[in-house]
Amino acid sequence: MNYLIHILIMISIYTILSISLNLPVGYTGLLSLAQAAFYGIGAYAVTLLMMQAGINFFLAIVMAIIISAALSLLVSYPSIRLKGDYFILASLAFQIIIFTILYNWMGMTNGPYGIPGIPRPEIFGIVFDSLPKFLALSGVIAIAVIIIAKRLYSSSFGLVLKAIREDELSAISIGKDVRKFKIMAFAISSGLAAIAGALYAVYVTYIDPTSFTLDESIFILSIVLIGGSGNLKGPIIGVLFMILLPEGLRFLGMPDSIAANARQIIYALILILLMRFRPQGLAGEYKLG
Amino acid sequence: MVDILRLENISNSFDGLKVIDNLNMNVKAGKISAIIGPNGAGKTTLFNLICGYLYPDNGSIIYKDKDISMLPPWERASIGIGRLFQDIRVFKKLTLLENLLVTFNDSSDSPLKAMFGRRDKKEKEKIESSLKWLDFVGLIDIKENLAENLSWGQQKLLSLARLLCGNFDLLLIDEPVSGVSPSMADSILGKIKELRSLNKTIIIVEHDMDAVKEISDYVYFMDSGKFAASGSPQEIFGNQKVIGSYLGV
Amino acid sequence: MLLQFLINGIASGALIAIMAIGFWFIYRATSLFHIAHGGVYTAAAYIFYSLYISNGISLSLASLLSLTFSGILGLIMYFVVYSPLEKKHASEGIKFISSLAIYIFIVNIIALIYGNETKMLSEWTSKSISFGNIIIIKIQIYEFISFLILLMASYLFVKRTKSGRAIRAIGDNPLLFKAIGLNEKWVKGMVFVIGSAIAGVASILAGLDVGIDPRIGMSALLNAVVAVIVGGVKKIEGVVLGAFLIAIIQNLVIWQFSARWESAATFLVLVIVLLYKSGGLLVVKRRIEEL
Repeated sequence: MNYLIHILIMISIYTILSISLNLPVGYTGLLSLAQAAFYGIGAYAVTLLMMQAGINFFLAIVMAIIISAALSLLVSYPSIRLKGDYFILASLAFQIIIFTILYNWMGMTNGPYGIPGIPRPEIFGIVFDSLPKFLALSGVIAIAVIIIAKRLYSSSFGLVLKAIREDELSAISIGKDVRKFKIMAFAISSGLAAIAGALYAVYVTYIDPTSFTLDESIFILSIVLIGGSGNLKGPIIGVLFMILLPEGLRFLGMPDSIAANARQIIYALILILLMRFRPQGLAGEYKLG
Repeated sequence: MVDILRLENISNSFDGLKVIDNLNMNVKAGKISAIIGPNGAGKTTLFNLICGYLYPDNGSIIYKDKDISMLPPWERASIGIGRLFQDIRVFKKLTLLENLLVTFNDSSDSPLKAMFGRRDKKEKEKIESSLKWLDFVGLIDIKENLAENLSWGQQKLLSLARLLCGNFDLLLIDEPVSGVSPSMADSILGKIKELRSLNKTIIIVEHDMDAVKEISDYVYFMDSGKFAASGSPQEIFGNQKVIGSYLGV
Repeated sequence: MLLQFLINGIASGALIAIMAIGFWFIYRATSLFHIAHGGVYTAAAYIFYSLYISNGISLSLASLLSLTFSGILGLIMYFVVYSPLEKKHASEGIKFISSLAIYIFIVNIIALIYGNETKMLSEWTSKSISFGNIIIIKIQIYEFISFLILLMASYLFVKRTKSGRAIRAIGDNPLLFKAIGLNEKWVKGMVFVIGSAIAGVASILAGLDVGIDPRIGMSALLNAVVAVIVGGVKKIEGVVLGAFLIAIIQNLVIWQFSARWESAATFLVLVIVLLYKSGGLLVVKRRIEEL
């Protein structure tokens, strides 16, 4: 039962992550390999704000969102004009740069040793220290993110993004500052990723940079590509698939020693097949490029 | 301001070839001008220069008495320069209504408002305005259709509606009646003529001489990056030089 | 110490250059961002390990077989994955993701078969020559010599042969390519074979130098990509220059700061070059690519 709750908590955290990446990938056509970096920035920001400055989790999360979104400008502002493969490369470069900073800035992040003893969130006297309570918290936050995403997609802002992904030149011709919109989408995406990072930090109560590597970025991107992007259900289906598949493998008796590699092999094969035969993913709306 | 658009000594080269050669142009507000000329004369390039997809090597572009030569294309569009491309470019996977709704350039595009704000009457006004223009071009019945399902001519009408909804004052229309049936051409030309009463300034590029004769107040004959002749339609179509080198016979 | 730094720089530069040349062949002719090239690199190293260490086959035969294997592997990748995508006019993004997926696929199969630990290939690492307090490891000499041979061969191939001209013409100048008369699929298949075999050269040398693990492909590939972008995609000379520049910067960072900042420095250089090439931060005059 506890294990089931744990899975549900991970599903809620990854739902937030995949919805966050849906905005650049599925609505602005930007394939980003930097999402884990913002996930990490959110985790570290909340941790440091809570532990060094004694700030309440719920306020810290808001501040982490702003910090993450602001830092995303450093990445997007120069990179947004790059085309196709070069943008992906730039995002990869920033992912590695940010990871290296998290890994080596001993004074701030404690480097590879990580930060243990992260306190649980609390508000109005309620401490979220049991699994069911934490699931309630992460579940509510995930649902809030879904609602915010839905509002975004169906708004004028969302319509402009859809127009940009449809025909960027045409969007320019009706007066849209396409760069600005892409940068905004990227900033929102980074802010949302920070929420996931915050939840992760107070759930596991220990963070270190190895949770926020390029591999993690690739994993998050795979969720969005396999599930599909450009709509609401794609990313959610992606999360369910990517998190439940390994559980299924374990259920079928696959030993843990080969499970990690087997999982990756399966994900990779599915990606290759989807890119070839169904680029909109299992349930998405947007076909890459 | 009588001249809504002035081009002063505009030149533009591509790969060493001079595509636009020291060109001057004064466009009077509220009139319909046409640019005619053989293929490769530089007509579409001229449009691209005015819209900002290309920057001039020399010269200035003055719009409403303001020098816009270095302004990026989106900004030129946002101050009223609208473009209808030769390949039209409506948003195919958006509905007709959405194609118009997206043209509004105001703070309603803000993401913060989208996430946390409440629906206000601005939205309603936008929808009403969009419907008005869809009606104007006769497409209101199919407003929920995806734009990709329209015929070529209907897409042109939709683009026109887009330009009107977006409140552009200077409309650059690249081949308004190419590839459409005669009846659709009449429809389109009729709508363009109606725009004069709305105080829109229109420049069209066209190969269909009947269309040009029918709607333009002023005609420019363009050849090799320059205006070889310009004047009223009667003057141009009576001009021996023009007839000889372009109109054939 | 400066001399030591230079020697290390030249040796690692040679390795990056070899990998970059292989990547360049493929990119030049196909415009494909062949991330899976890193997978070919890894596979070649492990096949070599199986042949040379596990089965005691001689160094030269093991090398030859490994290079042949990697060439064929690259060719298979082209025909099974890339070529069908090209036919469908798939977007750059789709091709990139497919390539990344191929990489993940191969590397995980290797990890499954061989395990994740680092394996050493030889005692070459301890065979060194010293001049005072400068140490040159024998393998470093081989790396540099291999690089020189490969560079000469590639240069002559690209400049003097029909195929070489075809590789350059195929993307830039379709008319010229038609005039040369070679079949497009043939040329593309060929660059995959050549490029992949070259990756094998790099990985065997690096493997003999520092050992192998399933992760070596990604770092080798990324270094090569940075080298190609920094040095310029059009000419092979630029690629080589880029490789040595990157190697120098990396070794400089290791020498003056710490090895921990090496990758950050490399990618910072990449970002700066990408920005500069895309017009810098102040864009005054631009052209819209296609209308």
